[in-house]
Amino acid sequence: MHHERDAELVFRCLEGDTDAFSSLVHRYQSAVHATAFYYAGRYGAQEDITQEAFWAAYRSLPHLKDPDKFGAWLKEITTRTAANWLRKNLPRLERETPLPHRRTVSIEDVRQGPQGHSESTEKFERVQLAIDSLPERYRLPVLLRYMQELSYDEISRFTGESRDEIRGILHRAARRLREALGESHRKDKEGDATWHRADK
Amino acid sequence: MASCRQIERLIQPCIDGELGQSEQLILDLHISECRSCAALLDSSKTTAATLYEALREVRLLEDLTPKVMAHLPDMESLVAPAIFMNWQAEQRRRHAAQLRTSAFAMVAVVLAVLGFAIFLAWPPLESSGRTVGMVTFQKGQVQRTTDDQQSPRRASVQGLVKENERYVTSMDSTLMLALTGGTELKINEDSRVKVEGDRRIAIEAGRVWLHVSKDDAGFHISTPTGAIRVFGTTFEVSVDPDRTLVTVKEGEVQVENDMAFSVLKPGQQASLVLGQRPTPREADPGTVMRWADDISADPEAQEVFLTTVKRLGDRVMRAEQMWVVEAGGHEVRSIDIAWEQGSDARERCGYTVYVSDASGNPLLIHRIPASIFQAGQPSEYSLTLEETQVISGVNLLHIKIVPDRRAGTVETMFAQIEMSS
Repeated sequence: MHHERDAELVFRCLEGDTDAFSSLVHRYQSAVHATAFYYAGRYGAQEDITQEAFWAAYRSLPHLKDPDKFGAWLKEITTRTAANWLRKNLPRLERETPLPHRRTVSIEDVRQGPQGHSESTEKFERVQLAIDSLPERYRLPVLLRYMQELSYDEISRFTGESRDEIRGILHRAARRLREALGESHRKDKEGDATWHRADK
Repeated sequence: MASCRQIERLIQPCIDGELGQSEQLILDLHISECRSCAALLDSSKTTAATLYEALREVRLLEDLTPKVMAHLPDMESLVAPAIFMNWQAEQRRRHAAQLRTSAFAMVAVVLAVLGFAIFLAWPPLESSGRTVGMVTFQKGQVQRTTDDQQSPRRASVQGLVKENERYVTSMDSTLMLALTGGTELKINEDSRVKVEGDRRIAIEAGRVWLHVSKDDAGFHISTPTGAIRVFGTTFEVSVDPDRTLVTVKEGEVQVENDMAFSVLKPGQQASLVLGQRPTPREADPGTVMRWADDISADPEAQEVFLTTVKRLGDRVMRAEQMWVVEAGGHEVRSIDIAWEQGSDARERCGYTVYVSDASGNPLLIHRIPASIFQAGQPSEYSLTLEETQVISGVNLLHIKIVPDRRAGTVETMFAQIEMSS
């Protein structure tokens, strides 16, 4: 499947070969999913947005000027799809209880039981916080790498950045994350910082 | 021989399995002889492992291809008007006609989905004497005053709380108020709190515990060194002349001063000090709020409140308007806002604009004075960002616009928000 270039698959799609599109879906669904998670993961909307993004891409495939840049084009469509979803749903969601931190409970959590749940939730939240404090340009490459284990080439094809850029970004991101996570690990050992005031 | 500096750059690609053969060799050789780089490799592996493990929880497990293919839409023909066209070119254009078209389409969606009630009638603040709550607990002597002043009176349980009343506790006296908006306040000793409305108070000094019910309108607290905005939460505020400390137990609390705003989550705390950015840090809410455990509502007062006074607050109110705007990674130097011009002659209220990125990180805060919205003024406003506020490299922005009802009372319906550089 991977021996066909994106451009070839796009041309075949345009000629009516839907199998070619399913190859593209298969190839890019991890990347699109990670992007959807980035924008709306805290509301559990990543799967919905992923599907909608592919449908939007299929619909407007004839308008793609450069089939070689399908990946980056798909990323823009995903961003737009996420934006539309948020516009429609955010006002309602803001009023409801926000999930503890941007996730729905997974099967892992149920298996681990209550104790395991809180530990992994805590770790997840810490990681999420660390990623959120990275410069925006780093966040998606980090998710693509650590959430979906995409290669530098795959990340480059999807974001439109060069492979060297991606390598540099992930290197700098890793450095910051190491600091951020190393520090919070240390804080756990020191104990909570409490506020004390002259007792009343 | 490679320097440690050069080697550092190889570590991440090595962990990611992306090193070329020769690079791998160079790295292996150096690591075998350099302890600090070997240690760096180890800690980098630990970090990577933590990230993989944490994010494994949310990675895509299912193959979505069958679902996608099952409901594949029709492909657009090239003759049809191009809507999702040529992404890169469109994004490079400034305020082209296409942007306006899609913005109007977005407006239609927003109006339909949000269904705002325009020009809600909100009683003018001058009507003092409006009941906004009831005293549900009291210990010791508590004074009640108003600005236009007659001498202070005593507060008592089941006493009505009126708009613009100030409550002052002394040593050994505490107080609990239930407000019609659904908020409960426990006021500690040596405190001064002014109740400006059923959803707005000013804490002038002391310590206050609050529980704000989920409610469309939100609750606003002003202090000498900053302001706090909430929508459903339990938290504590401690006010000193030059510093306000906010600690959150449940829900989310937004704190702001002139410099910036910040969102606090449960177990977090932040100080509001003039001239400094509020930064969240960890805290134990239980310890901070222990004093409030001794205060609880008198059951009879509570019952009376629920059956009579609380009803006064039943009102559907939409206080904030939310926008999600694409910035396409370009630099944003100004934010253009347009709204529906109305014919209502009454005083319109000002607004505060909160801008965050896709991860919810606060970016900037800006206040639009009420005078901008008065009848006869143009129904557009361009918010020019200062150099330090210019936003770049961001794809999606979350913009929240909240009314500030201190000056006026009538709300405005916003129609359109665009970015430009």
